[in-house]
Amino acid sequence: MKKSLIALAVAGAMTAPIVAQADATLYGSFRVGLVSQQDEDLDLRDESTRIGIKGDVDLGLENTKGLFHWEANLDTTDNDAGVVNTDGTKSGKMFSERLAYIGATGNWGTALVGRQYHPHYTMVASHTNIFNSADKEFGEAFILGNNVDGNGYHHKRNDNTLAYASPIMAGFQVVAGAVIAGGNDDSQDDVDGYNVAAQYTGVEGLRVSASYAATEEDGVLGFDQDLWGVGATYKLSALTVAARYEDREIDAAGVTTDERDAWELAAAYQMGATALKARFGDLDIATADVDGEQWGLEVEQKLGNKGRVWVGYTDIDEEVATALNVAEDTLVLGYRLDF
Amino acid sequence: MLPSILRSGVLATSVAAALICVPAQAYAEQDPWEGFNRSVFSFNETIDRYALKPAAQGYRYVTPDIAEQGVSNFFDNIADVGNVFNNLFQLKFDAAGKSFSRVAFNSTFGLVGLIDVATPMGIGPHNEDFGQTLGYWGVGSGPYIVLPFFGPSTVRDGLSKPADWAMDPISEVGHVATRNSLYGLRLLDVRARLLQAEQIISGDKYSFTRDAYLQRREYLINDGVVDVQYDSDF
Repeated sequence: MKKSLIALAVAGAMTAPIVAQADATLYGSFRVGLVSQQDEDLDLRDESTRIGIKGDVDLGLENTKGLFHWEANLDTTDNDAGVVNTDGTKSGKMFSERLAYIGATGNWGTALVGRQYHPHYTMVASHTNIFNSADKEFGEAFILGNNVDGNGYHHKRNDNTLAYASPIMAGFQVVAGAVIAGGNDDSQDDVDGYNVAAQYTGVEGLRVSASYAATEEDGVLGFDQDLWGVGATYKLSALTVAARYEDREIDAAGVTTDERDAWELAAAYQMGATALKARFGDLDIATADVDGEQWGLEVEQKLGNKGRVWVGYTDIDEEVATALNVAEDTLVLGYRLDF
Repeated sequence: MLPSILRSGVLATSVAAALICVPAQAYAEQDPWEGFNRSVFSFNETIDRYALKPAAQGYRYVTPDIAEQGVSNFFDNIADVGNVFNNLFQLKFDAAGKSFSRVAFNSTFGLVGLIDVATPMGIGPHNEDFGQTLGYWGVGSGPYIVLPFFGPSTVRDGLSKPADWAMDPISEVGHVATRNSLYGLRLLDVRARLLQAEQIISGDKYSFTRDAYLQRREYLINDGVVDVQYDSDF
């Protein structure tokens, strides 16, 4: 794919010889699933298909180069984001946004501006997020940093984010990011939210991380959110085990409106191209007096280097499933191709 | 594969039979109850001759090959459930994981097990029963015994059958008529598969069956690694 982009650049160069050649990579991952849920009809769903372009640019500096990254979700089975025309066809949004950022990287670290992953996701939530399925019952249900319940920033992929990641020094890396969302009221805080995180990867097979994220009450969202989490993964030959804990509190005008915490354990066992994965977690929503567990299993088979199929199943306690508006039982048969 | 090769020529058949017959003397020692066994064997043979074999032949005759294969795959998929447990009991975690993966893929992508999608995907079967599990942990097979209805066995393998039944998902089917129909169809499937294999039987059928059974068990328990003295062939 990289080749075809270069070919385009070469073709372009023939007509305009001064165009500089940028090193860009076109990549993507197509993922579909057949989903069976309790009290629901069988549904063919997109399992988070994405297409992206990323690359770096020579800035003429010794230790620094520019970089850019765009990635969008392409819905293969529904186009809910689009507008339905009178003849039944759909128009409007073909893609929905995932990533779009620009930055610079060098031996001093990496600085990025735009819609990007927050370290709370990449460093904490990702530890146990080992399933292929993208349905909220699989990946998101017990992750507090993401905006599944309509509060606060997406500490997963959020726009208006300015971030700095240090280089890895003696196994340690620090990431700090701020959400600067603007707004018309000059009396509000300029920084509307932030996320700081640290990770240690100094021991072979081990990854330990911690993150703290806050949303400012004086920012554009108008409430105060504190979110922190810790996570660890340890890989011992074919077996990988992981754990995660998150705690979140939302206050508005001095009153706690939402307080919850979640923990989760995960394990994956790799047998050649076949992998078995399991997750078990608990979510406690103190302010709603809701507490319950979730467990899930996934079997994954890689087909060649760029293909895979999987079968996933997850079960969520009724009380929590109702509170989160997710299905209690979900079975997914998935198929994925990458390029 | 093997049966088609065997059908293709008398030469191949006689070669295979000769190979299988070689260790006949070795297995006679494991059969101290031969008199009793022979009478049970002839009882089983009678039932087979007048009921089971004609039923299996009829089943093969009327059923399209693809449907027969589907039935075989269906029961193999069910047997993979027991393979998960027995591989675990033998601490063969990769084989247990792969057996579980086979059940997961064949039960879903493979349409409740009718199609074996796992094997072409690269997840082959790892068949183990509880008798093999006991053998793995060093329990001796004990004398050869022919069980009424169930056929060739050993004391160890016979005593381990209740464990196999406990791990058999069909025994969990609550609806009695459905459960018995599944048992019946499985019996038919097993017998139909043996129709091809029994073509290679030569000489005394009793001792041939016994030797083949014991040799096969030894082979399975050692996962294909057997201590065979080939020098006696020459």
